[in-house]
Amino acid sequence: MIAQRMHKQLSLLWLKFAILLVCGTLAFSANAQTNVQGKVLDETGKPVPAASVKIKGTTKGTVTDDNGAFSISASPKDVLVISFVGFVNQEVKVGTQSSVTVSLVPGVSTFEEVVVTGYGSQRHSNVTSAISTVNSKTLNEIPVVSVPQALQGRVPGLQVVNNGSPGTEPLVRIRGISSITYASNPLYVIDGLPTGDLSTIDTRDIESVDVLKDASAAAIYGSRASSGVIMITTKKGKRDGKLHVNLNSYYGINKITQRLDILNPQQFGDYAIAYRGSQVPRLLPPYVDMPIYQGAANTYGNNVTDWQDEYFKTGSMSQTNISLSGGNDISRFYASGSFFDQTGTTPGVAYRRYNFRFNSEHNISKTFTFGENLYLANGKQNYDNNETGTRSNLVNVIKMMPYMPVHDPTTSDGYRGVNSVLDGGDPTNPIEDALVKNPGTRTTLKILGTAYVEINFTKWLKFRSTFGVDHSNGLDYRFSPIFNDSGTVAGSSANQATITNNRYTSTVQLYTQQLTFDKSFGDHHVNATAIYEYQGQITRQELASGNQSSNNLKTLNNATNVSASTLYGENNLISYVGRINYDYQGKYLLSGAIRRDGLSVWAPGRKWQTFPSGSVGWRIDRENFMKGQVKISELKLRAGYGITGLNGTILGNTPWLVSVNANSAYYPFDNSLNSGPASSIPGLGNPELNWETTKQLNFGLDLGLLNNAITLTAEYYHRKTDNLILAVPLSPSMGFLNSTVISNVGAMENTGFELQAGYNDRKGAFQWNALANLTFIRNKVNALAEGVPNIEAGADVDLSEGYNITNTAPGQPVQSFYGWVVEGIFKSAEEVTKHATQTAATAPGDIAFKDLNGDGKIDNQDRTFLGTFIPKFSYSLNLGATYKNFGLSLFFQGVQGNKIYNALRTTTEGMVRFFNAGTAVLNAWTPSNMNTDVPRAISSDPNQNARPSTRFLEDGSYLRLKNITLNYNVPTATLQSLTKGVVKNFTIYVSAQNLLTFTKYTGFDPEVGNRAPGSSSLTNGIDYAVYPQPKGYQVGINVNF
Amino acid sequence: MKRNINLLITAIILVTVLVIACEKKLDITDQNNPTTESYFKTATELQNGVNAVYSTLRSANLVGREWFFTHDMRGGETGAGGAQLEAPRAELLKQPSPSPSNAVMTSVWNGTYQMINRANMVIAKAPDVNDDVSKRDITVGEAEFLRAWAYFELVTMWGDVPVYTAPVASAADFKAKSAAADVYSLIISDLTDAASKLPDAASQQGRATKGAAYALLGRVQMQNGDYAAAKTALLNVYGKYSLVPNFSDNFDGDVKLASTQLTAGHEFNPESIFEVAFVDKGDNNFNWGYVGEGPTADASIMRSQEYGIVWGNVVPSDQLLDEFEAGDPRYKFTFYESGDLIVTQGGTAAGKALTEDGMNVAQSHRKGVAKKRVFRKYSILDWTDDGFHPDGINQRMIRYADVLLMLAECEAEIGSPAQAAIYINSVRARPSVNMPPVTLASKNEALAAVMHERTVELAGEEVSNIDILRWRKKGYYPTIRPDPKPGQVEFFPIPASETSTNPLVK
Repeated sequence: MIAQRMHKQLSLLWLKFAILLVCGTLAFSANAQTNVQGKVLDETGKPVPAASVKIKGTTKGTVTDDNGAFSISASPKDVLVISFVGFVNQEVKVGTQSSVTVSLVPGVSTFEEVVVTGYGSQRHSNVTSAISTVNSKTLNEIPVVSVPQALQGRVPGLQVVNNGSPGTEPLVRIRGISSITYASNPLYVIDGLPTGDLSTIDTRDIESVDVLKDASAAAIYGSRASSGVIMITTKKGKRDGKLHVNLNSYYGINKITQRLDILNPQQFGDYAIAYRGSQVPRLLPPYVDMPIYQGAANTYGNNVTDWQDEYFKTGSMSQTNISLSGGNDISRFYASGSFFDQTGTTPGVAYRRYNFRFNSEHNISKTFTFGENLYLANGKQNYDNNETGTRSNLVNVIKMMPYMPVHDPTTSDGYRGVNSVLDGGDPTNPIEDALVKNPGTRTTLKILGTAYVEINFTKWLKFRSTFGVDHSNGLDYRFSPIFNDSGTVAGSSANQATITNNRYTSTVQLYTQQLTFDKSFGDHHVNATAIYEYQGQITRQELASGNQSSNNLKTLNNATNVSASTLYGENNLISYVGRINYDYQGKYLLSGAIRRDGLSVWAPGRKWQTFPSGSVGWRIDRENFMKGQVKISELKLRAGYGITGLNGTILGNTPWLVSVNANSAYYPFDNSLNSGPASSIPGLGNPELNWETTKQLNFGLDLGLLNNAITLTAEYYHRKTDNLILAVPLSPSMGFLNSTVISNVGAMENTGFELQAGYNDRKGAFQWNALANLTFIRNKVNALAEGVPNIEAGADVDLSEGYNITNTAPGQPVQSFYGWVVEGIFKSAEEVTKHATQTAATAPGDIAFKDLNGDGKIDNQDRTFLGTFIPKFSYSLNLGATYKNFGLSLFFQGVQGNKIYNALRTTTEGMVRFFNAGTAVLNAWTPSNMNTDVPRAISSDPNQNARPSTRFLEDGSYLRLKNITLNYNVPTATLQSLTKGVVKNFTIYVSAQNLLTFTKYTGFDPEVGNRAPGSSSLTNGIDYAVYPQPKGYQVGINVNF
Repeated sequence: MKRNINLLITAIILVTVLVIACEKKLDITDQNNPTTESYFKTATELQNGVNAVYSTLRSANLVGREWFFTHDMRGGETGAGGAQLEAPRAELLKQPSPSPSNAVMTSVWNGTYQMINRANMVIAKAPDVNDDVSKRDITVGEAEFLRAWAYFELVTMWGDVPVYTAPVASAADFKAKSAAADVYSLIISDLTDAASKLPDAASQQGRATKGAAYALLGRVQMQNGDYAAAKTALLNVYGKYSLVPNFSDNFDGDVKLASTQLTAGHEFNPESIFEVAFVDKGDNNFNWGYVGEGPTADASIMRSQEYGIVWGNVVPSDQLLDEFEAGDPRYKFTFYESGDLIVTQGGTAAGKALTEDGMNVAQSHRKGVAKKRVFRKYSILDWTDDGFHPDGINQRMIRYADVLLMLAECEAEIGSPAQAAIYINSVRARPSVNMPPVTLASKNEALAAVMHERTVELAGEEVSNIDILRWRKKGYYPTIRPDPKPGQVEFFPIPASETSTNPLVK
């Protein structure tokens, strides 16, 4: 059955080839040709073998021999283009010369690289879709843990937002949000193996990252490509017969310097009286004169704790990577070992990783090539399990009473908790929470390997068979001890130790069988690929927890209250792919691909779908009328269209199916805990469920001027999804625990414009380069489900008084901020009476909200759309300069025109419940302080002044100096004499991150992500106490032997 | 030649791979759970289904937390305890009508309908279960009892509500509101049928019994205005239960700290007709999932913590304090005030005195005397002053004293004040209470006596606010007594989460 279908597709492809062969004309126009001899040298004057020499505008060309020499027949009008990997292309007009010498300058521009396109690669000049490439040098400019962080600001249309506390993966979005319900994470493909988790991948091993942005590029990955594809290619080793040894090492520190203005003890006391009507007992006799603990010199009356200073600490980061690489005609290899160590800027957070890589490739015979990539990483993350939730430790940093001590040597754990009676509120000690109560460790062993055999039947037909495994084994372990911090609030003590021991394993297997045809017929060049691919994943989870009655027992051996469960998951994807690239004289470019995916997660009958794409390109610079001119080195117009899907496995292994929750709860009949096993059906299923498919149209322009010293790429796209999967809410009266059922019902579109401009000044002792990115995105929701006028999200009892903060509705950008409009503050009872009715308890000093529907009362109907988290545009600018042996690079990154809902202000100035707060509350409205925008201080906020409104909505624009690096290359001559030629290159550098941020935003940091990064996208841009980006400073060396 | 061999090898590899990776790999179902087709086939599985209705009943949405808040905030028995009272609870307590998005009452709406959907599932699947017919029928009786309880909560809080009597099969199967009278009809028919199916004594303590069905039917009939029918139903319970001598035995239960069981209490005692079971595992955890799910999740209740001296969300209202006659021992059984001894371990230890400083609550007034007071009923303070320890005290949903006073009210309404006095006096004569008997001559006198007696006997038991609604409707405020909560609306607004998702409900 499959074989038949496969056969059919293959025959179809062959037929296409045959037609092309027949149609192909073999017209050659001869000119007055002379033979040009030449030599290609590198910057030190050494010959460059295997450099490409081509006649511009044609496919005619040759390569240099071992002495860097070449010979080509060309007419005087022709321009020779000399290129070699790692060097800038040079163009030489033939004219009357019969012999030329070309010196190549090291460096690359984005226009001259080989682009990895998925199941193959193409020269940038032939690419007809929107693909951006980031090379190894750029990736490693900033010392970061993971690949996404290294990509921030580097690619137009790729948005990376740091999110959560240190150690949490940032949000990565290509061309905006493509799904309402699911995280729009791109597909990551490492050396041909699609994988999910990048946290353990070492950026130092990466040769290049290619971002497939539009559908015509990404659709080769079909059902998983809606959010774009990020192709990662690891290093291979040069076939230059030499052994290269590289040592790279840096050490740095990170510091969080941002602070909010929080009340000191005296101000706290004033606020307590204003808010509660009485002082907290702790600041009254007899407590005020008592020592903060027995034996302490300070009393509650004079002790001052700056919880922000206590909480934020200086972190460190270091990495050392050693790599060996080399090769000859038969074999080549790259091997590396690396150690990364980071301690966080908040208590208890750290990350440590050891990783090893061995890549090699061997030409066994002219026909057979064997290669493999093997990566092994062992990562250990110490995390703060309190980081999520509305009372994160950072929130408690703000809420803690400023006179309370952090430590107390008289308690069992050495920390101190509050007494809600004496202190008036119930925050918990955030440092104790992080270090004693909720520290967790995640260890992950990752093995990622691929092996392939390539069979070259002829020069134009090859077969490649790849087998890959991506295995990860993660253990999430937490130990919460028995303790008592002498506080009286929830979480002040534990009378049993709790051990959590969760293991997650995942094994992904991949088989790819690929047949590639590549041949020129005169001016016609055809590259065709047919692929069969299988990818399957098996996951196992083992979740266990229990109690011990001693802090010395840290395992579940003989533990009590043991709870254990195991879960098994499996999904499989079977794919058939065909692609054909055709060009005529390198001028007219045509590309078409089709992928048919079968995925196990859908209901029977819904498992298969086809994802086609096509694109065209026109190299205008290769037209006859452009010949001979040297200003425009490249000019290409592109257009592409394709259909892609959202990775179905995000939804789980059987998202359409509803199962019975058997024995998922118990009822204690006879007062016996497990006497009544309870089973229920939690929701409704939906067998109609299918992929979200996105149709995307892309237009692009590539322009290179003056030997590509100046490059410009512009892209316009329109992407539309008509069958978005939405959680259609079930009425609560239907009585299911799953309050929604997922269905393909919504429609959304993103329209965008991207611009990348680069400049490379390559002459003289002072050289400089610049690369600027500019991205515009507009998002609009077109339709939601029938009976679902809108989807609200973001409600939180503490941070939004229970109201939702965002609303997704047709005609508006996804998850727009939503709430009331503040008119001002009531100055008198008369004003309250005259105004539309708010609540029975509304009084002077409360906020007047606008009666938008004019019905005389303020209710849910008076909310409106207040703005979006999506920037009007985002931009970045890389500036690099070298002078003799010094190099300087600057990297600016920014967003403009977005809104942030600063929900943290509900804590700092919302006055909803009594805690420590920001200094803004001192300016609260009183009859004698009417000239303020802070409402009255009143217990439990009866007017709901802190409800989502324009009050806490802020401009989120910022411009940040993301990185600045200064390096010094020890001169070659010095090195030669000092090290007798052992050290070929020695660079020392210093760098700093996030040194400057320009913003009007009043929170910790304007880089605000998403509260639930793994799931829905509907809470982006809500600041629930975002961890600020630290300032970082490093010093490092890079040595080549 | 060599090329051909290569091609052959390739062809073999390709074909082999294709055969191995057949499409069967795409047929994967959930391997961790039974399917809806394979389950609920036996009487045991069906009973597991009704157990899930009970587990919803004890969840935080309902009796575990928000249900008692909803009742107590809505009635006249409580006042704000201080700044710890969260906004949505404060809104219920202080304002005549909450906003439709009020999270506390929405929890009760969600929880009751979850009970109803689960009960519907049991009732719908029952006809196909034949392995143990008697067990099956009792299970159906329990499902009907619990469904009736849930609908009674709904009809008394919201009036007209959507009625579902079968499991929902599709996302478009939402129902419009039914008239309150129809809801009452369904409740009455469910309870009548449940009473015929349920046994006198349950196989496990905590399951609904015949007595529970009749007692609830009596309460429902009274609320529906049919006192004669109520009396008939209640007389089926009369004499089958007895008052426990020690009043406080109705409000205690298991208290455990770490592995130390401090007391087992007197749960499922002869006075208890239906109670919701909670168990204290000894830790400070609570099942915060709200829906009661989790095989090893805690089965504790937040009542003692929420109303205790540390949180003090609410305190007894002044009018409730004043309602107690001088010398009524139930005053001290119902409230703690500063100066009282706690942690006496049921009177076996010296204990320690509550102080004004040690109580994080606002003061209240009894006969003008300002003091800090908290509820003693359902409190664990006599065993531990661990202020944030969730407790395992079972919630007595219906106890015999309530039945006797309901009978008294029926007699008063029907016009037999003397008979009403007999019931009232039997409650007042409990050994630990021992209050002098009342003599009642007129209907109004009888009504006034019933209203007083129910208010003090059942204070803080999530009964009073339903009584207030009934009496207000009858016009007894202010002719017989002043309205405890003047201006209060009869019904809550339908939660916004319902009106925004159910196009048939406005």
